Amino acid sequence: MSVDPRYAARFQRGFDPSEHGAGDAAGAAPAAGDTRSASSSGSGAADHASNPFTRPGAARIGEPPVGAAPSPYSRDGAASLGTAAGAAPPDSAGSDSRASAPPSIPPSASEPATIGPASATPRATRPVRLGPNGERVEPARVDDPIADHATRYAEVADELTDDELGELGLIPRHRINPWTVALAVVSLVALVLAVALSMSTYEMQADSGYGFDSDRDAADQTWVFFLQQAGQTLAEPLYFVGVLGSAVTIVLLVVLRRRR
Amino acid sequence: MTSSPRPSLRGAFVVGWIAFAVATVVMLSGLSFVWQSSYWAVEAAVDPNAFADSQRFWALSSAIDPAIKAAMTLAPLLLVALLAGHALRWHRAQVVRPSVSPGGSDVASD
Repeated sequence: MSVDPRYAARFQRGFDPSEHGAGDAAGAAPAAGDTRSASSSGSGAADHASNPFTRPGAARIGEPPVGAAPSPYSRDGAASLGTAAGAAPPDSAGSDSRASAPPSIPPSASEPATIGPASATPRATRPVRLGPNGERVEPARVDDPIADHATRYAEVADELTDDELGELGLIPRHRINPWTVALAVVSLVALVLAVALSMSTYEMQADSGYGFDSDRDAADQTWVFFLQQAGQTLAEPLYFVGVLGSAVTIVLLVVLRRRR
Repeated sequence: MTSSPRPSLRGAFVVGWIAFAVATVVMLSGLSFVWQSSYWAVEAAVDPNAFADSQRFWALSSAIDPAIKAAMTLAPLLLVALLAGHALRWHRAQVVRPSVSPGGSDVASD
């Protein structure tokens, strides 16, 4: 029973080609910008380096598949494996888009060529991030898109305006206190109602006299006097609420003012 | 509505609003006595048969006049004080929250 070692390597847990010497090529590798010129220089060397399971000095086990994706074990893309990132043969037009993709993206199900055993991509991995003590750091879970934007733009926060920072949640947003607004509305409405009641009752009293001088008959005089008394007694607490609430609203606006 | 950090404070606000509702009802019912007294006063001026009713309502409203004055003082004070207290609490919650949130995973939030 013979199993293709590339296929068997998919099920090896924690297999890292950089531990087996594959990462040694990164030391002598050119910069990432030179990968295009390096891949077009010779197809034989590029095909050899595209297989992450062959040591640099060892003999190749099988033919590298056409359209081999770059190694997912590479930490920072093209620079770690050097010429391996641009490993697609330059004559195959279909693999150009895949080779131009960043190598840290795991192969998706929409690309069946990268899943089958003929592919050089052994398994779908995410780029491993190491902490300051060498421990493995889980990638940040992005639940809140605002928080993601905040972490992304926190580095360039100096270049953003205050409005953009506020939209990103990096600075506390200047929100209006709804209770102060409620107090202002209540006091103003009470003040307007009190003034209206005072004016209407005064009008009742002023437009026609009392007693024998009045234009009204006795029943109307009774009703008008009742309405006037009721309006004035009702206006008294409304004046209280209006004046006191206005004063307290002004005090709150002064005391709770945001200083930046 | 913002959650109160202390439940006793929230209970104080609930008690305050209930007290405001009670004071408002007491004030309006006391004012209704005043209005009836004034109505029957002018009714007695027109109709002498209503003099006895006028005297009764005048006596009643003048008897409960201190309570009416107290309710008319207490209800506006309670309303303004409760709204101002809510505004202060909201402002405090807004000020405290941004300093806690950036290191939310590190700092125990309670």
